Amino acid sequence: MKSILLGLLVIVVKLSYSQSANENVLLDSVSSLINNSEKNDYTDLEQFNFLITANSLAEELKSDSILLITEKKIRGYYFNNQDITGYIKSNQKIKLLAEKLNDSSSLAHAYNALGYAYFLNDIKDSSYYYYSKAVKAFDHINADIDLSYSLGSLSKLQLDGKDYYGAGESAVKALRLLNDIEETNDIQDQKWILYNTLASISEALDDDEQSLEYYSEAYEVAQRMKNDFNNSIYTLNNIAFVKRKQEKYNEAIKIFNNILDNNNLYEEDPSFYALILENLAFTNFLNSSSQKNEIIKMFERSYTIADSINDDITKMGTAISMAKFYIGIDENQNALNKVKIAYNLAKNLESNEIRLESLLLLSKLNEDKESEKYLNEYIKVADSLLKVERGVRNKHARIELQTDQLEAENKQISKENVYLLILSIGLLLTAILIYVVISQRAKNRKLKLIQVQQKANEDIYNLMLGQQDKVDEARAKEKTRVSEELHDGVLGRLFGTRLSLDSINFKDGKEAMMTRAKYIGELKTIEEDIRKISHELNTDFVLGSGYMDIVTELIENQGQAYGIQNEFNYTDDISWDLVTNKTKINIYRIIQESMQNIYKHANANTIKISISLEKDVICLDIMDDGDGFDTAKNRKGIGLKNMTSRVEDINGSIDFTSQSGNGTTVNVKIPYTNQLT
Amino acid sequence: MKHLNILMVDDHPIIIEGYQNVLMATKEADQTLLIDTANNCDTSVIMIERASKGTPYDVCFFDISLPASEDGKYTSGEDLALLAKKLLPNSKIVILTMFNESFRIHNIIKEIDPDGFLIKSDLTSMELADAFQQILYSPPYYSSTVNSYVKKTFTSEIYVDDVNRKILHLLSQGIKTKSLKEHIPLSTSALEKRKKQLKLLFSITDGKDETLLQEARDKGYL
Repeated sequence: MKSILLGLLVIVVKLSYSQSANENVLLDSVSSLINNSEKNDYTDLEQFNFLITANSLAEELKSDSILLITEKKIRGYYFNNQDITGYIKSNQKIKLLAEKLNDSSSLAHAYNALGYAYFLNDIKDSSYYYYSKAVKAFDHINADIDLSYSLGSLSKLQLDGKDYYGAGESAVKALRLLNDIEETNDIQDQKWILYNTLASISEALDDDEQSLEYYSEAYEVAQRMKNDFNNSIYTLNNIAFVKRKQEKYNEAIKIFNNILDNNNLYEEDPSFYALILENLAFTNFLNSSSQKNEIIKMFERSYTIADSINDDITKMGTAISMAKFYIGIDENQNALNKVKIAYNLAKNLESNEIRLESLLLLSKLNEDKESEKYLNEYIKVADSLLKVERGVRNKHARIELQTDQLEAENKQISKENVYLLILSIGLLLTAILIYVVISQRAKNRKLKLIQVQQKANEDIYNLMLGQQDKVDEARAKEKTRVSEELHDGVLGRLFGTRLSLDSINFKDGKEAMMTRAKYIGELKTIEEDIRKISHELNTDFVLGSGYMDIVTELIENQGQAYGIQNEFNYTDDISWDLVTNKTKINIYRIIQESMQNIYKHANANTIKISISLEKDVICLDIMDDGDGFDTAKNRKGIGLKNMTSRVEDINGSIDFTSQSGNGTTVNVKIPYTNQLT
Repeated sequence: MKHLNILMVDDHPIIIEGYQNVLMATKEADQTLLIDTANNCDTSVIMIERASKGTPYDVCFFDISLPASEDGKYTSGEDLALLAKKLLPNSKIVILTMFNESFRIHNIIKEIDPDGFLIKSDLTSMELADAFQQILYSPPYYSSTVNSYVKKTFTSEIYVDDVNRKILHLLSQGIKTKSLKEHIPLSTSALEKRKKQLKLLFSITDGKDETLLQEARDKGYL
């Protein structure tokens, strides 16, 4: 029934996807699938199928983040069902996704999980590799608790590989991380584990006192725990073990007895109970304080319990201890039996220590060839073990070195990238700066040139205005002169004549007539004078002279300054008042420029300049008798260019005619008729 | 018989001739006229100085515009009139001039205070004869233009000082404001200020020079 429902759901989901292709619908389906997978109504397999469907939908969605969520659920399923192969596969996928999404937390957890998985699979080097990656990753995201767990696992691996120094460092670091963390039961458990690890390390280094200290720390932690999972008695066992090693047999026996007194221990943990029994028996034997029979009884009991619960490890431990005991009391046959059992178990369990120990005992118990055979095997196993050990340590070192190198490389690359970025930005800025400076300079130069030209034009304009003022002044003077002439000359005489004629009224006769005739003649003279003045008024003496005066002055001044003979002819046909100022200014400048060029380059003695009017075209001709130049070659000179641009500016045309040695003629033609525009 | 020593100064001989004709024709029966004439400043100065040492002139006629003396000390009839007043304190000074602008009239009255002031265009032979007699017995005599000017300025309450009068005069002759400083020893800004004052004085509201001149002309200052 359930599987039918599931199938329906999958079909519905698929249908809705194909029909609508709507992402929201897909998302809803994924989340409902995940929800279903968490309901306890379904079997594990059904739940797993929900997750697989959700995962494939997420893949279709091409949404990595959703894929990550579903993949994590799948990982959870594998973990719960202890499918390590699936768990590893799932974690690898999560690792890739997290890398893609830059999800450092998920990535770190994936590393940690992989480390754990490989540890379970007994692939120690891979486990070590992933744990060290996890350590780096957790450290990077400051996840202290997770980091502590990873370090703890790493420490154990290092201890396993007999890298005691590294193991100690990792464990201490892991402990320190937990210092400021609130003590939950789990944290306490972790602390206990870490203290145990540290104690084991010390033990392995034969520093028993240090080891005892760590164990007592562990014991304290265990005592504080609400639920200590028998941690305290495990620790007590460890302490006793160390004491025995220190030959403090009485203390050890006391502790073992205490443990055995614990209620329910046999029921709760028979394997441990058996172990304690074995330990107690062996300690008693070493202490030689108890009766042989009692010791044998304890050993037997331990062996029977271990056998009954198939605890091969305890069975093996008990067997080897019994073997030693029997040797101790010279019962070699019994000893040989137990050693063989221990040897076989050790071989199966790959417990090298016990195997070596049993081999040594075997060689001792047997004689001659048999003994030699076992001894040889012992040497072989010990050698291979040493090799493996070295290999593991080398591998660890290599992995560490590789990760360090990789990190250093990454750092180097990112540093190089930064330098490259800075360099390119710097270059870009410099380029922009240079461009701006250059363009600004060009602009400035252009502006300055325009300014200079404008200034020159202004000067000429002012000159022309000044000339106009002069003309006005002359006109005003002339007016005053005429007025004075009228006033003083004509009016005075008219007044005199009037007065005299008036006075004649007092007389009559012939004399009076004669006098009158004389004054009438005088009137006639005055008439003549007035006509003359009127005529003078009619002719404007300054008419049209302004601009040509300026040009004449320019040519004379320039010629004088350069020491060149000059000749200037111009027509009065051009009414310069009708010509625009622009044209006048440009004609002035062209003449100025030409004379300058002639002075600078031509070595001329005389210049002839003429302005004439031909068919409504103003013709300006400038001729010199200097060296001349090749017109084809020297077109590009600044002076010539300037002149050309000036002429173009007023819609005119310019022509240079020259032959080496024969002087130069510049011919400028400017339209006269469009001047009114 | 009464002897009258007379000096006539004018640069036009025909005018002197006219004066002589009129005076000779209209003199009183008992008057004998002894007339000296001069056409320029130099001759006039010599004559005035000689008269101051010998027989002084009873009446001096001066034209205003005359050829200046060679040393440049005397440039017009005004200078001569002042000299005559100094050297010949008892002689009657008569100014006969073609100038009829108020400015000139004002200046002449102020500087010379002549016994007779005649504008040539006012003059007829009859008036000249009357003026001559009145000057001799009850000076001063002003011809009609001078009279009307005096009347106008006496009745007007506006006081215009000499510099302002000159400004008005120059402006009326078409001199531009910026060129005024060539005629009056003042800065352009000072002249501008005075023009503004004049405009206030004559209550000119539109600020135009033309209106100012018109108003000044109406009030008899031009």
